[in-house]
Amino acid sequence: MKNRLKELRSEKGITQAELGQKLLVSRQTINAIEKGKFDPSLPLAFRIARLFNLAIEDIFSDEAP
Amino acid sequence: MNTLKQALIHDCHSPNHSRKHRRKILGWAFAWALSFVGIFLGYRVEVLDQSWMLWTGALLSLLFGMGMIRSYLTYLHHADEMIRKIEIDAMATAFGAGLVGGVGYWILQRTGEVAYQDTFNICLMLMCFTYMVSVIWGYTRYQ
Repeated sequence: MKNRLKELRSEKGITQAELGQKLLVSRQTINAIEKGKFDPSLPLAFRIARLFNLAIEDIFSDEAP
Repeated sequence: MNTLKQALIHDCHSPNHSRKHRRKILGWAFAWALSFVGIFLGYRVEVLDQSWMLWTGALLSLLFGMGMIRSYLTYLHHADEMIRKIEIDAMATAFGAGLVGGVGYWILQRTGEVAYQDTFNICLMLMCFTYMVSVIWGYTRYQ
């Protein structure tokens, strides 16, 4: 699944570790999501969307990364 | 209240919390393995020569085993979702390898193709090895 997490994180100027803390997951999980290697669960996708004030489909798309 | 809840949830997912859980699992696993080996050796050298001693030892081993399973489940429950996926995938692979490999070896042993009789040991070693390889592969895959 393709996503804009890295781009959105860079816009906010926060590190992977800080984003992980905000989303209650590890830095490794953030890294894997950004690289498109790991698809987050629905609750995590909602937390990400809420954090960036966007809809889930504005962040994630079902294209291959 | 929300901040407190968030802090508590975050603590559950923190590396320190994971380390604490891993240490607990290791402690239970060590106690279980020690009891397992203790009963076997005790029986071999005839220290545990009474039936009640063997039953008590087996019960103790069972209790340690249950503690190990419970602490592993607690660890999984509190683990980060990617780590949980890696662990569950590794457990499924190890279980499958143990079952398929164990049955395959048992058939070879029953037909007299292999000399070593202890299928249980082979199955256990295969499961441990597959679990370790799968966990390492899982962490490498998501890096």
